[in-house]
Amino acid sequence: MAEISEFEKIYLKYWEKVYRLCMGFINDDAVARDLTQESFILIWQNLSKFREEADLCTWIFRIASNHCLRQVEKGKRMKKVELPFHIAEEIEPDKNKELELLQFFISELPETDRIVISLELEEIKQSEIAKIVGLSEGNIRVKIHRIKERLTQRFKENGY
Amino acid sequence: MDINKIWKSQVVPQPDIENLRSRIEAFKSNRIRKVWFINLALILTCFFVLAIGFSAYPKYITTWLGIVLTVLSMGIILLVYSKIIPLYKSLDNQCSNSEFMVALLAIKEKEAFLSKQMMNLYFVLLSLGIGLYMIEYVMMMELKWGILAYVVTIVWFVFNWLVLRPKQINKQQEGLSSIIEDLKSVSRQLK
Repeated sequence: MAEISEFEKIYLKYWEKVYRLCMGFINDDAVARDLTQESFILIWQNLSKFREEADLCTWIFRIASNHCLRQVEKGKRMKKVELPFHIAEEIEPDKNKELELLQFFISELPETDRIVISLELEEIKQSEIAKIVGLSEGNIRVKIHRIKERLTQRFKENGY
Repeated sequence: MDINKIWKSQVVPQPDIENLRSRIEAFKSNRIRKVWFINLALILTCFFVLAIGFSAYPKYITTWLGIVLTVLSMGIILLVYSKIIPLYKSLDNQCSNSEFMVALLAIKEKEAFLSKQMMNLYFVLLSLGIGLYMIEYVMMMELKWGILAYVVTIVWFVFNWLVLRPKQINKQQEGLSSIIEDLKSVSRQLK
């Protein structure tokens, strides 16, 4: 294996976070992996333009979330109108099922809400989420509150 | 229901650094290939114009003009391609989602406009090109055959302009419009 470059250190450090963001957006493992790798190619392309005054994590998430949004243009949007069959028919709660449900409920949200909630669940500060998405901090706070309420409601509707 | 805890329970696949390295390499060579492709296509287009010209030995300037315009109309697709690609290259991935969506939407709308304009230009250039090309050869015909040749050609042009062109434009614009609508709906979420 070749020597690890600075960029590759960034890649290894942020891979998980970017993957989860992409997964939150698209809810498909194979596509999420692709989106993550493509996001890192964009990060590699733009690395020379990165200004130190900005937070690296915020900068990476901006590139990755913008790349996710480009899927709208390519028509790769996930459109699920009902629960996947195998989840709907099982009622015994366990961790994996909860995760599948959470991912499914997130995939029902509008595109930008999926990004907002994925960033919130990644424990990104709301002020940074506001910078990534381009909305005011107050607006983000309200959005997060509503999304969480909706997710909780969806869990309740499914016996949780 | 602790959704933070559920979120963190995701099993994330291992990063594949070798795959990333090979993708970056492929990206670099692809970029070079694209530049070569455009240059090669332009050279071939010029070569094609000259080859037709010299093999047909046209005496009239109108025939030459006709050949150039006809080939130019075929090169229009290349022109659209060369106009649209830089637009996407100028797209800044580092800005916020809302700024990004505004920029992406503007590019898509410009793409829709350019495609429509280029399609119109294609038909105008092609019709003019063929019309001019024919002059030299029609002049060698008897008057009635010459008139017939032009009448048939003009009918064909009118059919192209009124039937084929709108059909082609509609097909092209339909795909773009649905993308533009989707992008607009995402942009609205950011207001």
